[in-house]
Amino acid sequence: MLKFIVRRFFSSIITIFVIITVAYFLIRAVPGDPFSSEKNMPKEIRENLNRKFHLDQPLYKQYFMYLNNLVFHFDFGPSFRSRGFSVNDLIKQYFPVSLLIGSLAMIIAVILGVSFGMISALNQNKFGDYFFMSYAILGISVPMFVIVPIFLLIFSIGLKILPVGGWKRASDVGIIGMIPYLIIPIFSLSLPYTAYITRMTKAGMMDIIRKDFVTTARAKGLKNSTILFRHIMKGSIIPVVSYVGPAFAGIVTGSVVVEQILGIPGMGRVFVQAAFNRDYSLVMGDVITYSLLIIVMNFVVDILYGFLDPRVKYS
Amino acid sequence: MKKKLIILFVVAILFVIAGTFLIGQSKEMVFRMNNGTEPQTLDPAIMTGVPEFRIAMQIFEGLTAYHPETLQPLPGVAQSWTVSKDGLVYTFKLRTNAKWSDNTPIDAETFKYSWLRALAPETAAEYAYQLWYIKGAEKYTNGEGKAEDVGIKVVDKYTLQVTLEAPTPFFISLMSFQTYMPVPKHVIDKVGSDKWYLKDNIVCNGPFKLVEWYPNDHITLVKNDRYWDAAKVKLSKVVIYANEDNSTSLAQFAAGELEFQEGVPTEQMDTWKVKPEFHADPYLGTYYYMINVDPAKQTNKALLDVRVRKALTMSINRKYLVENILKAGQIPAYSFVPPNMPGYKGYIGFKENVEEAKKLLADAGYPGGKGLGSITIFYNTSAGHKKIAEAIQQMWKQYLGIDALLENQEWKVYLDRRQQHDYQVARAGWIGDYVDPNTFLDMWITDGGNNDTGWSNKTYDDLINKAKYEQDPKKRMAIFYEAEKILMTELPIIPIYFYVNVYTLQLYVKGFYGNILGMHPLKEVYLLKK
Repeated sequence: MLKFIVRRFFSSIITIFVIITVAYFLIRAVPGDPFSSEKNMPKEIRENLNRKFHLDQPLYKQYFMYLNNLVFHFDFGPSFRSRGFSVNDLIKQYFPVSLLIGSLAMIIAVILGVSFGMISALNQNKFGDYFFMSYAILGISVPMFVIVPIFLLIFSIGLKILPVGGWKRASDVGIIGMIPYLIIPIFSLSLPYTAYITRMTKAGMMDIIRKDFVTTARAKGLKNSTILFRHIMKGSIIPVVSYVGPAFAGIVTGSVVVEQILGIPGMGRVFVQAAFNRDYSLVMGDVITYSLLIIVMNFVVDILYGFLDPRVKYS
Repeated sequence: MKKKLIILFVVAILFVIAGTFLIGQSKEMVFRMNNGTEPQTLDPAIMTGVPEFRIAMQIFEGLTAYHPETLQPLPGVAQSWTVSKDGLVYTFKLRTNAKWSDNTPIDAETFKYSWLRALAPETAAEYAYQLWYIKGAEKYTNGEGKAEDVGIKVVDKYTLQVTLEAPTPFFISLMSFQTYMPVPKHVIDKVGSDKWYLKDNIVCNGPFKLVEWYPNDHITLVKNDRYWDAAKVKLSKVVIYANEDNSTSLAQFAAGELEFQEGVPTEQMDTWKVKPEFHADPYLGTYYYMINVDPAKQTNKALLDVRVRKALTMSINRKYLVENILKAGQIPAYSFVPPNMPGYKGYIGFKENVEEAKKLLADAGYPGGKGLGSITIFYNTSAGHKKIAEAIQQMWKQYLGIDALLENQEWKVYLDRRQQHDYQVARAGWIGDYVDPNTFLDMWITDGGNNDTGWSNKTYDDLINKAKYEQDPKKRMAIFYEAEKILMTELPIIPIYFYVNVYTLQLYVKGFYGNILGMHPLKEVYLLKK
């Protein structure tokens, strides 16, 4: 186990280093620059700006400067667009917002998805099965930019029981005050994830239900609920766990569409803005945060596997 | 059991929602607006954009301030000013009771420091050139001159004397502009040039001061009690959101969550246009197509022929575009300088005339568009630009037999290619910086920083330069007219329409005016809510 962790740790470092390098040169290779606008500026002023942001240095020097700041000071550098803010400051602002919405959405998706999947599997070819499977297909195929406006149309504009997007902080309105602003983003964000998990749980259960050990358990006269929770669920949840890990990294780094439409100051929206603005340092900061999360989550999933599936060995 | 739990859960959520709506609303006078995007900075010396300026004008005040309706300079930190006979020396008398929100006084030294800071090469302010009317300023920014040689002199504690390079009739109106606003030396010295305007450090000298700044979310301003004219400020709080989604911000407005928001998506225009909350004010801006006339870079040589350019210009039905696509009351453009420029009438150089356009095209050697090849219209990705390009494509095909292709690129790539003259015909827009024809015409001089067409005309350059030194306003306007005549005859650009500033404003907002710069000082705005 320890050997496994150490090995994973080093391979993760190499992975992240490769990601940083590729991302750095990729974003710099994209045409356009952070300071261009409809109004061009005099050449001399442009040179002053380049000097201030070290863009006048050769690219490889900038890269090593960047790496140096990152590794030794954990400093992502100043944002090219939001002047005065460091990328560290900005991520500290945006990440918790996406993390909160994403985690809540994921919790809801897991609870609903697993329940729906189980209900479908246990009521095969009955109403419950058809109902939740149609729901799953809908959830997977209807894009977010349709779901969110429909929710807004029904709950905010039609029924007027929820605000039209926006974001409030616990420090201003208290935790209870935040709830109305959370409902639409969380439920719309959880919808596709719920759908995936429903299908996976169902498939997993159908697979396990037919296994010999389940028949044995039945033959021994165990209670139905014991068979379900002790024997079937443990096995059928493995695909869900391997899905939820990376999906969690994805969901907590923010959904572009949900955040953009609802005006939520989270990571997803900012990532896309940063790319459009050629805010090199912010793009890098986002890429690194996202990759770190994926690596960590995959790692967690691999460890969880060992507990759920006795066939997995860390060697 | 499970069913009961679910019902319980739903009921609990509904209770919480109801509860939050019952929490009483305070009696403060709060103005909530959507500013459309996150400001790049709140340092007035560094900022360049409209969204930044919109905030700056609430929290900072220059020597003068805009009249909310006419934009005429009102006394700000300066009580009065005089101009020397030759138009070169401006003397400002500052009021003695102007101070920062931390009670530090503001005097002539503050302005000298602020302007020199904006000019200094190490500040790297993009808009430093807005101060280059001042003697020696350009040299200082470019590293060729010294700060001491810049024509800014502190005569006494409350008297500031500015010497210009050339008489600049609109210099006074620049005093309300962002780049000329004061910055707090005492704070900058303490926390640094890049951090002073952040929430924990900032001090303000305008009607409001900043108390909250959540990037990409909102900024909160409250009334600044130390502002010299605080008695006139009626709003207690201003909340400025940075939501980029126009549909959502419009929906928030409709739900009463915003007092002001800008823009109405074209697909909702018909619904909103008839509402009393809808406003479409004339704006000092022109939407136009520019033609690459750089012989080395233009890939369709036919476009180098002025007759072809004229034919293209004359065969665009602007009235159709304005009425059927834009729909907000935009004005068809037949000149480059907008018609609402005070004291100036633009030169109308061409009429829409399909027959004549066909003739011109034939004269140029391309009868019915034969032999001309195709023309690519290049624009930055946006549904609005696309609709216009498609309509023009159709018109050119139908009227002239010319095949136009459409190409779009994301904003920064589009800008990059435009600057490198890597296009045939490109969509562009220009918003005036100040109320003077110069802001529209001086950009077309040979190798002008914003002249992305490669167009060059010696007579034109001379006229623009002559206008710089002309003191008589009438003669000056006549020179601009001559210059625009050349521009509209040579047609390196095709004016299409003049922008309007579209916004929605709640009916209970009073003291809020539309104007040609789309600038809204909130100093005397108030709300008449029941």
